[in-house]
Amino acid sequence: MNDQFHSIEDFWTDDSFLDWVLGKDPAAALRWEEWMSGNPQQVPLMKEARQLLLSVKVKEEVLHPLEIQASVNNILSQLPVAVPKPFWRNWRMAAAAAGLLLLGGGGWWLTHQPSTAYQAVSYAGFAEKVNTTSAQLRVAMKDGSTILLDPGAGIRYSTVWEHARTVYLTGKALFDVKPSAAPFIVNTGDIATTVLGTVFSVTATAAQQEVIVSVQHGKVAVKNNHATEVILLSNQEVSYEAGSNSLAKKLVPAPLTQVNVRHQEDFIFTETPVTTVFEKLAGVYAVQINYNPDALKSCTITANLNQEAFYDKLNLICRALGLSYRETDGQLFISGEGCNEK
Amino acid sequence: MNISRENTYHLSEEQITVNWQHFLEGGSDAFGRIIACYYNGLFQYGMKIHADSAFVEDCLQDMATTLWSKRQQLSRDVHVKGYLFKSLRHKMLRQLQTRKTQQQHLHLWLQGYQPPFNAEFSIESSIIDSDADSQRKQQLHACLQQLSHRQQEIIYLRYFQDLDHEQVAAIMKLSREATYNLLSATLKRLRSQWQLLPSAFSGWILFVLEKKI
Repeated sequence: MNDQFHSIEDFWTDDSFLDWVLGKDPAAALRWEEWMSGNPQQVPLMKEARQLLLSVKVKEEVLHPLEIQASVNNILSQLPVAVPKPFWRNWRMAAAAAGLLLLGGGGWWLTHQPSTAYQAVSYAGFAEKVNTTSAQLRVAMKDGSTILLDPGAGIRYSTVWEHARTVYLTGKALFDVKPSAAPFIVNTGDIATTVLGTVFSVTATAAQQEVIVSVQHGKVAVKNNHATEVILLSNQEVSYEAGSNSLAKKLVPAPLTQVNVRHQEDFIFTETPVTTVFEKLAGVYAVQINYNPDALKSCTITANLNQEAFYDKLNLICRALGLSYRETDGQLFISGEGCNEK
Repeated sequence: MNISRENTYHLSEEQITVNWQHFLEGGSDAFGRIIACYYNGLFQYGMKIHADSAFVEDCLQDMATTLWSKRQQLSRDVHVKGYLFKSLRHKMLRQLQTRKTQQQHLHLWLQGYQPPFNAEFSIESSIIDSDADSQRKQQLHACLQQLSHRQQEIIYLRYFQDLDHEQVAAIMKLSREATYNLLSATLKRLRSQWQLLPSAFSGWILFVLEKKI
């Protein structure tokens, strides 16, 4: 620190002054406090130098952190690699050959796996895990999520970002995702699936150029390259064909129960109003069923439907009461004459 | 003049050192963290040299690839930020130079070629500014806009990117002395055009004003 400052540029060229004003060195502030008490006559000039320095701005549009992340990922993915990459080199072909399945929820991890059962390849900021065994393989992620890979399936994810939750997947895998503020994104070819809910389960199939994403529990957003986005709820699916813009939502072929059906008598009905039965179906499978309650108010059901799958239940009910249903946009619409008063 | 904005990917000096070591040993994660830490700064700097974001991104990619390939020859004790800025500047110069010579059907590397540099400076005004203050700020702004490319660049690197003398010298390929001279000539020019009162006198006036308040 110079003892004598005669002009503003004397301050502007002083390293200690810049350390203080530009906030680089916290200790510098203390030194300048001392300096001020020792040189009261120079304080005004110093204050002017400081104020002017701070008031000069440069026009810049700061990049969004996600833009930076994308750019750095792009840089890393194009680095020449020294280690072999047996899986991702061919991963598009592998994707074409393999189905893709993501499931979630607890209790899936019953099979014990030896820890050396996969090829773990790390290159250019990405970790890759490929299941080369003939059994399912569990991979634990940093955020606490777990991925169960089917034989031949592989995932790739960036290791640069501590909390990023973006996974590139091919083959079949079950995902058990830990709830977090950061979205969990599964990329499969042109399709990105974002988990919006906490408990979720998705089934996606990548065959040739087609991807089917189907949700078993929770809520996910599916987006294609054209940024068309569809929100899927439980038991809904969407299929996507490369080159097409459409993401058509429908119900999965075999909806799963969404709540624990603890009691055997849950689907045993005795003279039960059909509206109650539909409410029960809608609740247990988290499927929206639309009907006209007035038309159906005198219809009742007596049946044991505990063993039947969702559509079998629905078909039996509709056949018994002379009703029909159609499915639009992932919802069911019941129509029919209704029942005669007995 | 500080750009004290939040950097999501900020690393402390110790973290930079550790990540740099990992990178030299082939750690691509560490390399990614370092690039992310300085990406915004490098990008902004690049845009001042050539305001074409796709071009700047290409040069950054190119720079990263080169660094990665020659990581075994890099020094452990390098000033990382300064080195990255220097590398980017060099890449951009090469590219711009190639474009230029191709356009002119010349195939030579012009020694001492310096890139253009355009920073858009502005002066933040404050509601507590007196008339004299705001007049002074306007004058300063006008002066900043009239600086040469080199003068703008040195001001930008020194005050906005917070690089020290030695780094600025290395980036701009100048000797320490030449850097010092350029900076002080720049500041002198600012002051002369600024029509400052003799500084002791102006200091006295401010002192009196402050007493009044």
